[in-house]
Amino acid sequence: MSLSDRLDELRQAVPSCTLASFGDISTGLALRTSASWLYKQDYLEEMMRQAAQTFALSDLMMEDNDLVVVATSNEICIFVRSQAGNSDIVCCVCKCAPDIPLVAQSAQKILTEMARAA
Amino acid sequence: MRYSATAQKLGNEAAVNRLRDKLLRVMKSCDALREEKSAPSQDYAALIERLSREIDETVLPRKFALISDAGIEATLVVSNRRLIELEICGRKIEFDAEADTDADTVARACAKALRALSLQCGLLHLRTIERASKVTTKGTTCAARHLMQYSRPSHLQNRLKAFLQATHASSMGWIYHSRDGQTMKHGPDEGIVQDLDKLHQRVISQANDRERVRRVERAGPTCSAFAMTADAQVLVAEDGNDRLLAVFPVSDLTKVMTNWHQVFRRPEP
Repeated sequence: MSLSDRLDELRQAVPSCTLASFGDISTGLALRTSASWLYKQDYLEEMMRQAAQTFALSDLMMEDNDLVVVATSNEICIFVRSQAGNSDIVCCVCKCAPDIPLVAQSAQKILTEMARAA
Repeated sequence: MRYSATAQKLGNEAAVNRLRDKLLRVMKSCDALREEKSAPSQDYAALIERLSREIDETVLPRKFALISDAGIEATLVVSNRRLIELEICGRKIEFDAEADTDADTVARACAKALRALSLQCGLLHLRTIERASKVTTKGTTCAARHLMQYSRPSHLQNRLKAFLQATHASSMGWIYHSRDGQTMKHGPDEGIVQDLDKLHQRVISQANDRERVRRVERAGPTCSAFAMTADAQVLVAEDGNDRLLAVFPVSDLTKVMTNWHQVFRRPEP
């Protein structure tokens, strides 16, 4: 299964998820994206920047933390980074807070599979 | 015959009567409009309801006045079912040309200003005063539903404080930093408050860096959450003015984030 298929599968498993993107947190690049509509590149880059910034805060509290969440007025961004020590990250956008655990679990599964395949 | 057939078709005679009244009103001369009086709104909610109805039903550019016993307190320009301009006591409500570009921000600012006016003046009459000219609909406008939404009590109070009030009971400790420089702290565990202090310094430093770089960011309130320990989550919530850092049991994360959304959610278009 390709990375794009896995991202599509994640979105299908969580109906409120409108975007699932795989990227590299060190460079801030979104490499593969599955979305319900076309998100602008600026938005994806801003999301990556926000992920890096929030993980920097999180590292101050607990270094091996792999999940951070950023809620805005109309969406919830869920950022999951790889536990394999690389800079892979999955960023998801959804509407409901109760979906956070399921998104986090599915995103971590994708990252584990990607690390295994590398 | 045609009129009664329409009424039957719509199945709502009251709506048809209202439409007929509106059509008659649209055809009135300026002098007649000036003479038209409205009953004073008993409170702020009634004022907003009446004003929202006027906005929703006004297509051609019109100027309205809010009148107290002392005279005209505020004027509003409405066109194409949107509030275009609000002027209170001769002072136009100004919006930040870069930051306040969306209808939500405009509605929030207008609702706050109208609320202050209503508290200051008491009973206010809403009256059409003339047809408005040279109306520009570029940028800063809002529709009636936006104004209604942001006139609700939950939106007029400090929403970050409302969020803190709602979640205080389950919090293990918090720091509230307001824009005027005041900081309030709460927490039975000194260690948690010290950790939050340390985190707060880093948050301030990040905010200063952002200010220096001046990146284009998604505006509006945000709430970030991440683990502090295996059992506790930290929340960093900001509304553009104030900042709240709080710690919650990990089991409460979903509940607290849902609470955030209830307080800060933007109305659906």
